Amino acid sequence: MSTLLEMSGVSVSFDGFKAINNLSFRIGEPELRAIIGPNGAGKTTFMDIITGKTRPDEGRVLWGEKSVSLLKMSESQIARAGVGRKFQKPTVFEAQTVRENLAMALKNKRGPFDVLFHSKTRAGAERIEAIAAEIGLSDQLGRISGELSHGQKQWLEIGMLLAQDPRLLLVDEPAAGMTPAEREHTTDLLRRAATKHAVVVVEHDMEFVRRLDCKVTVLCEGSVLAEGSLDHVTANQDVIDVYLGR
Amino acid sequence: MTSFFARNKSAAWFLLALALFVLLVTVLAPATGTGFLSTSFVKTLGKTLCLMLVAVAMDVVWGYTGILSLGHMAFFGLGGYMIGMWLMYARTELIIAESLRAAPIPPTPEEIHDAIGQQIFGVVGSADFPWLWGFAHSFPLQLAMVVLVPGILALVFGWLAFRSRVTGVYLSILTQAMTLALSLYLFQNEAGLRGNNGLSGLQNLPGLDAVPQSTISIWFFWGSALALGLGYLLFAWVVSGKMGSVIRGIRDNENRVRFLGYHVESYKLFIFTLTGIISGLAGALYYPQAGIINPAEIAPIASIYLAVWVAIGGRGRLYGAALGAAVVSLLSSWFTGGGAPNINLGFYTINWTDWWLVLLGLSFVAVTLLAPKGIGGIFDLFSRRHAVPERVGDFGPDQGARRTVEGEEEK
Amino acid sequence: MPRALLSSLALLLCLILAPLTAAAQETGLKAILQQYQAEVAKPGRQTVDALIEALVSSGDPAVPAFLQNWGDREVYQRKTDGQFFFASKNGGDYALSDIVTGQLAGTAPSAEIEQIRPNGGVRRVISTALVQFQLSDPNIANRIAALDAIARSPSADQIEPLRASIETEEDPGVLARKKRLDGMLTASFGATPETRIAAIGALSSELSVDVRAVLNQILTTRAGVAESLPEGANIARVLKPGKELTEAEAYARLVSADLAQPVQSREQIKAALTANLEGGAVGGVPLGQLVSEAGRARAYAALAAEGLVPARVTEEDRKAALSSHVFYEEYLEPDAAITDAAKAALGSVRTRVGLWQAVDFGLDSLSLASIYFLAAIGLAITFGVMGVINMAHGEFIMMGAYTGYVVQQIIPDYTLSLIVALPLAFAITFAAGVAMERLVIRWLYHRPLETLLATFGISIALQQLAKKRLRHPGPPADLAALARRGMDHQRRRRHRQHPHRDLRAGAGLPVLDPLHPQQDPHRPRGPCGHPEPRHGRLDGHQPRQDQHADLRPRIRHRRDRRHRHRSLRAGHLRDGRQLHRAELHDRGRRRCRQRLGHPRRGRADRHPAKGHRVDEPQQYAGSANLHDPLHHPVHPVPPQGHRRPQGPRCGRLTMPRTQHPPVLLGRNIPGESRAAARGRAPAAPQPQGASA
Repeated sequence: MSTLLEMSGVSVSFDGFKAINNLSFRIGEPELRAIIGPNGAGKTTFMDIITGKTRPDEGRVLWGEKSVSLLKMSESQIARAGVGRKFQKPTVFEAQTVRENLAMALKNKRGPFDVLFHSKTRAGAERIEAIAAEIGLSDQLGRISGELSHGQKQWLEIGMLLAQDPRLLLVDEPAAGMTPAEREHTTDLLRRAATKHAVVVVEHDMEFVRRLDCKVTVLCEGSVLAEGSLDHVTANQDVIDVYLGR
Repeated sequence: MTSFFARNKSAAWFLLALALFVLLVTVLAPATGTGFLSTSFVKTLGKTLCLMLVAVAMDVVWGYTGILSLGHMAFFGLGGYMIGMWLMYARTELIIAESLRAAPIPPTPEEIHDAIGQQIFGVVGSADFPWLWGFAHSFPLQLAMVVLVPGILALVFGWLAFRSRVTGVYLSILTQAMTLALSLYLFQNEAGLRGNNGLSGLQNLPGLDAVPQSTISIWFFWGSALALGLGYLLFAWVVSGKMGSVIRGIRDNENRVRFLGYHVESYKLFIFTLTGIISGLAGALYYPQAGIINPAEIAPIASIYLAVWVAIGGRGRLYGAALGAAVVSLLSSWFTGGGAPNINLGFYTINWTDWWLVLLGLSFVAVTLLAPKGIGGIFDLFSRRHAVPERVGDFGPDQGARRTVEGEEEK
Repeated sequence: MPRALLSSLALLLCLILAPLTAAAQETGLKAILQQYQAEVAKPGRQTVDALIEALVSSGDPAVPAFLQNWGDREVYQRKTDGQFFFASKNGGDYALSDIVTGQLAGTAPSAEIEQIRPNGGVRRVISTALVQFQLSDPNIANRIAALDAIARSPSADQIEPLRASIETEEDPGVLARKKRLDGMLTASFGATPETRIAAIGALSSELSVDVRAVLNQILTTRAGVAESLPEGANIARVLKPGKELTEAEAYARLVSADLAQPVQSREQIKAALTANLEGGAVGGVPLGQLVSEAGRARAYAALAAEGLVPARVTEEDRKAALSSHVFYEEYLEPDAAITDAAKAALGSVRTRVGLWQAVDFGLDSLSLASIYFLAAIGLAITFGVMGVINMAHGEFIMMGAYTGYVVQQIIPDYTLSLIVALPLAFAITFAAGVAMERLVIRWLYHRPLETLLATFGISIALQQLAKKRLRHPGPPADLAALARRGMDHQRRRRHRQHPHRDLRAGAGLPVLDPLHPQQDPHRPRGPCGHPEPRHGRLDGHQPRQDQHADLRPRIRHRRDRRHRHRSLRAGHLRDGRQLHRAELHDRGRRRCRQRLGHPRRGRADRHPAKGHRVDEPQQYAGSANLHDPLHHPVHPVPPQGHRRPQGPRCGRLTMPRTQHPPVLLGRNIPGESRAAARGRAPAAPQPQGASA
C-alpha cells in the first residue's frame, strides 16, 4: 500500500476562525477510510482543500508517487489527476438525463475541442450501462435526472464518481436519505471500490461507519482527534467528550 | 446527418421554415418575383435574419452557457465596421479612378491612394490612412478581419474576464463596460474609423452600380438566410452533443463541472469567442443592408436589447431566440415606422410611435413574470414531452440553476 | 433789430456777471474760447492740442461739460459774433444756452448759427481729455464709466490723469480699481523700464483675466526666421523643426519669408507635366511611364533641365534649407528685463489660477460625487441585501428630479419649494418603490437576471412615459438657483456647454432602438470625441443667425420678451420655462461675447456713457492682442488638425448620407429634445437618450 495523498501541517482560517488547524493526514492506495466528527469539525473544508476549492494558509498536500503538490493545481487539474468528489447534497445536472450526466463524468479527454468533436463509442456506452447497472439506474438512463428521487440522485452522483474512475474518492455523506437496503448497497459499493482505489468517506451515521469496517479518523476543531478502528476511537475519552458533550 | 436531425427535430423544422420563408420572399420580392414587397422591406427582412443569427449566438452564450454577455452587439458592430471599411475603400477607389481617368496623364497608385484617403477622411479633417485600414484594399484580407477582429477581441476579453472568475452580474457589467468603452473610443476621430460619422454608403457594392438595389437586397437576403441557416446548424451541433451537455452543466453548476475535471474557463472562452465571431459575421451581413454604421450601433443599450429579444423568445432553445429577435424587431419597426394604426379611445388617441416603448417595456415585465419560457414556450404545447425540462430555479449564473436549494448552503 | 437787442442783452449780462467771475474771467472758459475761436470752430487733429491743454489747465468747472458737448457736436457758433453756445432745436429756431451757466441765452434761426463738427481724431483727443474730468467726477457712476473706458482702450497718456485722480478719490472701491488700473497701465506704458518692472511685479499677485491679458500682451511674440539669430532681438524661444514645430510648418515659414522655394506638390507637378504634354510624351518620357511616381519625377526633371519649369525642390534641398536657418519667436517688447519680469509674473499668476481651478474642480467633483454616491448606495443596498439589480434605479432619480421641478413650478420661492420637494420626492419615490416591489420584484426573488430584465422593461416604459407626459425641465433647480444667487459666469457657461453633466431623467440609461439608428438625433462629436458645440464655429460661439434659432418661433413679441427679461433681471423668476431659457441662453442677452471683448464685436455700440450696461469683469483688451488670432487670450485658434468642415455633407464625396448627424448616450441637445418632447420634431419616435 503506497501513499497516495499526504497532508501535513495544513491550516486554514476564515476571517480568523480556524477551520483547519495543523491537520496532518495520509491515505494509501487502496484504502478505505472513514472520517467522523461533530458539526463544524472541518470535514467539508478538509475535502475542499484536497479538491482545490479552498487554498490552505500553510502546510502541504502531496499527491501520488511523484509527490506533486496539489496546492499549485486548479480544481479541474486536480480532478483530472484522479480526485473524485461526491458532494454532501446530491449535485447532479438536473436539466440533463441520467445518461448525459454519466457521459459527462466518464473518463475521457476534457479539452473543449476533444469534447466538441467527441463521438459516442461503443466502449463508452457499455461503460455507462455497466455503471448504471451498478447504481441500479439502468431503467432510468433516459430520464431527466431532476425527476429522480433524492436517493436515486445520490446513486447517480456516486455513479458519476465511479465513471470518472478516480484514484481517490472523496465521498461526503453518501447514505443520507437512503433506505436501509440502499445503505447496504452503498456500503458494498464503497468497499468494492476501496479494493482498487483510495476511498475517504465522511459520515455522521455511526452504524454506517461500523458497517464499512475500516480505519476511522476523528476530526475535531480542524485537527485529528483520534485515529484507529471504530472501536478504538469510540473508546477514546476525548472523542466521547466531543460527541456527548462535557 | 440524418441522425443529427433525428436528434434535433427542432433544427430540421427551423431550417424547413426558413427555406419556405426564403422561397416566399423570393417570390414576392421586386427583383425576383411579383414585387409585392418593397425593396426596403426586403432589406428589413434581410436585416432581421442577421439579427436572428446574432440572437441565436446570444442564446448559446446566455441560455446554454449561462454567461449573460451584454456586449455581443460590440462584436456585431465590429464585424460591420470591418466589412464597411472594404466597401467604402473599394467604392471610393472606383469613383476616384473614374474621375482621374479623364485627366491627360494617368494617375499613379500613390495619387489614387491619397485621393481615397482625402475622400474618406476629409470629413474628420484628415487625409491620411490610419494603420487600421492597412487591409482595406483587399476583400479577402478584410473578410478575414471580419472574423479575426471580433474573434480576437472576444478571446482577449474573455480570457481576462474568465480567468479572474468573474461571473454573473459582474460579468454582465464588465461586458457592458467593454462595449461602452469601444463605442466611446470609436467616437473619436483619432480612432481612425471616421468618428461619429461612421462609415456610410455601404449599401452600394463596389463595381455593381448598374445593379439595382432591389436585386442587391434580395442577394443580401439570400446571404443572410444562408448565414442564419448555417449558423443555426453550427450552434445546434455545438449544443446537441457532449459539448452541449458540458456547457449546460456550466450554466447550472459551474463548480460541479470543475470537479468533474473540465476546465470551465476554456469552455466559456470557446463559446464566448465562437459566438463573438458569428456575431461579427452577422454584423458584416447586416450593415451593407443598413447602409451605414457608426459608433452608436455598439452602444450598450443595443446589447441589452439583444438580451431582451432572447428572453422574450425563450432562453435555452435556439429557435426561441431566433423567433424572439424576429418578432420584437419586426414589431418594433412596424410600430415605430408608423405602420400600426393609431387607436382612438375617444378621450385619447394612442399614438403607437409614442406608446410602443411603453408597451415593449411592460411586455418585458409580463414575459418575465408570466411566461418565463417566452414565445418558445408555445411550442411546448405541441410537443409530446417538454423540450426543455422544468428548471429548478433560474438560469442565472449567480448560484447556478439551483440557487433556491443550494444558494443558502454555499453561502 | 432783435439781433441788436439780443446782443446788447448779452453784453449787459456779461457786465453784470463780470465782477462775480472776475477771477475766472481771465483764464475762464469763455476767454479761452475767444482766444482760440478759430481753433474751436474748425478744430484740427494737429492743432487742437494747445487748445485742449489750455482748457484743461484752466480749471474752470464748466470745461468738462463743454468738452463733452463739443465732442458730441452740440456746440454751435453764432455767426454774428462768433460766440459759442449749446443749442437745441426748438421749432424752426434753435434755443441757445450759455456754455458756462447753461442758462437760456435766447434763440437763433438755423441760418445764423453753425454747428461745430470736430472730426474723429479730434473727438478722440477730446474724449481722452474728458477722461480726467470724469475720473474725478462727483458722480461715482461716471467715475466707474471712465475707468471702464480706460480699461477698454488703454493708452500711455491716461496714466497721468489717473494718478492725479487717485489722490482725491474717496470711494474705497473705486480707489482700489483706480490703483489696479494704474498698475496695469504702468506695466504696459510705464516711462522707464524700472517702473514697468515694478508694476509687473505688483501684478503677479493678481488673478483676474484682465491682468493676465496685460501680461500676455507684454509677452506677445512674433515668429521669425533667419540665417542666424538677429543681434539685439529679444528672443522668446528658438524653435527646432521637427520638435517645437513640424517640418512642414517650418518650411512654410521659410517660403513665406522668401528664403526658400515652395515644394512642388504632386498636383503641381502633375499640372506642369500636363501643361507640357506633347505628342504623348512629356520631356521625352512617354505617357505610359507616367503612371508611377518615378516616371513622373524623370519627366519633371527633364522639363526642369530644359528650363520649362522651376527645378524640383528635393527632400535634400528642404532638409538643407531647414538646417541652415534658425526659427525663433521674438518678443515685440525689446527689453528683455521687462519680458522676463512679465514671464515670471504670468507664471505666478497661472500657478495661482491653476490652484484655484483645482479647488473649484475639487468642490465640483465633491458635489457631483455626493449625488452619485447617494444614487449608488441605493443600488448597492438593493443588490447587496435583496439580490435584486434594479435597472430602473435611474428612473427613481428621475422621479425625484421631476418632483423637485414640479414643486418649483407651483411654489416659486426657492427655499420653500426645496423644503416641500424633499419630503415629497421621498414620499413619491417611496410609493413607486413599494409598488414596484409588490407588483414585480416580489415574484422574482432569487432570479437576479430576470429581475434585471423586468426592471429594465420598467425603466424604458417609465422613460418613455416621462418623455410623453412631462416636459424637459432644463437644468435642475439647484443650479438655477445657484445661478440666480450669483453663480459665477464660468460655471454658468460650463453648464450651458455641458448640460448633460447634470443628473436628469435617468441619466445612466440611454435608450435607442438598434433597429432604427437613423432616427436618432445624433449629436456631432469633436475630434476628441466630446460632443461638439452644435454650432461649431471655431471660436465656440454660435453664428448669430443660429442663436436661439430654436426659440425664435416662440418669441411672440419683442416687447414681451423685453418685459420678461426685465423681470428676470430684477430677480423674479416667474416660471420654469423662463428659468430654463435664462440659464441655457444667458437670459436672452449675448453677454458672453461682449464681455470678453470679442474681436468681432464692435466695441463702440456699447458705451457706458450712453447708459449701456457693461458687465464686470471687463476684458482688458489690448490693441494688438485681440487681432492676433494665434494668441487671442480667449479663443486661440485651435491647432490645424482640429479644424473640421461643417454641414451634413461637408461638400465632399458624392456618397449619399442616409444618416442624420449623430449622437447619443444620454447626451442631448436641449433645444432638440425639448422640441421632441413637445412633438415638434418631425419623427423622433425612438428617443436617443435617457435624459431627453
